[in-house]
Amino acid sequence: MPILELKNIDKRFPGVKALSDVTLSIERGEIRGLIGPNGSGKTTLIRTVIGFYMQDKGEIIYDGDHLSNDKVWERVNKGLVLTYQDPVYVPGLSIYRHIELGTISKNPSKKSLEKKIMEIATEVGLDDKVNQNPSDLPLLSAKRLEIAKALSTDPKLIMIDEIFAGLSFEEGEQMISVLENLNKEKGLTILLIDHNLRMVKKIVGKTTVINMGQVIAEGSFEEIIENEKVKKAYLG
Amino acid sequence: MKKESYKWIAVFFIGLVCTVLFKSYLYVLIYASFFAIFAMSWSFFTSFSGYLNIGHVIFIGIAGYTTGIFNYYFHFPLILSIPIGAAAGSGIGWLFLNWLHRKISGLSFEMVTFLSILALSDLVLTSYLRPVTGADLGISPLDSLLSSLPLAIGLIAFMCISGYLFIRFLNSRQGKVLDFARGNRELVKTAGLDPHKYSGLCLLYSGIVGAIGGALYVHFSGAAGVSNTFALEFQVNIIVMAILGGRFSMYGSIVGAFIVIILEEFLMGRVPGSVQNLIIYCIALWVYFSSPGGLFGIVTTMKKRLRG
Repeated sequence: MPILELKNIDKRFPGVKALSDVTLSIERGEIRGLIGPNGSGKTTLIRTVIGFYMQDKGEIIYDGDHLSNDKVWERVNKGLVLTYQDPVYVPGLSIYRHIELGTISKNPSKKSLEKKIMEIATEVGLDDKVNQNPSDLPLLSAKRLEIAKALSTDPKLIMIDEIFAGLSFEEGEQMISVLENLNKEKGLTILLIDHNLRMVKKIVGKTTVINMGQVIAEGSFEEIIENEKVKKAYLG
Repeated sequence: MKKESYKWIAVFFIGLVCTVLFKSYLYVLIYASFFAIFAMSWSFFTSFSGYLNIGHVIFIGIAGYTTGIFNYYFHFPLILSIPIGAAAGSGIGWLFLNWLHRKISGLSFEMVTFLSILALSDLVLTSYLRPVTGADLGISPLDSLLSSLPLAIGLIAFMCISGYLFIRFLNSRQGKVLDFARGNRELVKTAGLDPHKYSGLCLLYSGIVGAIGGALYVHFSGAAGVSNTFALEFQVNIIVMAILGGRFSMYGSIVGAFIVIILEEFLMGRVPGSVQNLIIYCIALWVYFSSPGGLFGIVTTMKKRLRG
């Protein structure tokens, strides 16, 4: 059974049809790429899946559950989470506290909480920075914090928005290694939304291409870059 | 939290000493304690949830009028009418404001709470409700809480317990969520938490303290009328006290309330009432421009500078 199924999702904003009949199925444990040109509807799609936007039509089925009426935090507590392209944090509150926030709904004991936070910080490579203010972090570390925040909610599926944006090639490779570890060791399913095809290619199994709110191609990375519709979408 | 509890015990003892030292000014001390309770409860929700509530007097007003009605018309003793008033004020006020803050935020919340108190003021003044609310005369005379040493001590104790519990809440997991919700509500949602649940809880505690204060206050005043419940000026005074003392601190709200009440008392008879307000508002403005953290913020900054 797929962990996430989107069936015929439509989303319209005033004057714009942002998503049109989007159908997508992601298998458990998969690392799926979701690519598309600027403004193609990628971020709208994940914000609809997480519940910030309500779809006008269609179904979102996560882990066998129809999510249409669930609030964002209810979806997160079911194991669905997203990370932001531009790291989101509250200045003045430490990295430790940012990771702690995601654990609060599970009400852990103080001892297990500390252990969990340090485990997550270690997994993403922030264990020596937990007392720092996120505003002081370089971009790579801030992106690591995005992943750490998501991990703190005990996710099964993590939707990662433009994690490679602004990172150098070497930093991108470090991030790939973090994501691969999470996928292999924790069995996390990852939906990777990105522009950086060079990086996406290195990590994803299957890739879905979206353009003007519609899925235009799906398959292995090699297949989709040969697809005429994809070439047209990217090259005009 | 142990250190915090000692601080509040110290505040209580300072209050006790004041009741002995300023015996002839007991009335001022009681009056200031009431406003310290109102300012602290307003500040607790507004400063820590991120919603500027201009309708905090809804808690005070509903509590005041309810205890007034039960005491005056049904001859309930204070020991019954005050808890009924406090329960009605915190319950009804919370149901309304909690619903409101789930629906709207930012400027809309401020405007609606502001308009709500204007509407409630006019509602209790309307001639249709005169048989119940007494319209412009209010409900009076009510059984009175006399200006006495036990009342002063009781109020100071209530103020300190409320302040301690507020700070305890802010240091709890719920309070930690509020720290994030104030900065970014979306971030809280993506952490699997409903930010409104936590701000609603904060509003409830703020409302309970405000409503208990409101129910007691009308009996101290001897009447439940618009001017000591729903009036805009009453709400503005509470806000001025909190921002003067420092709205991000419970201690700041207390300091602000005591300064304003003592200043009012000092200026009374020396200058006209409108000039009294002008002086107080100008001081508040000057302090706020100097430090948005109020007097407490100025002291904290000075302490930091001294420490290097």
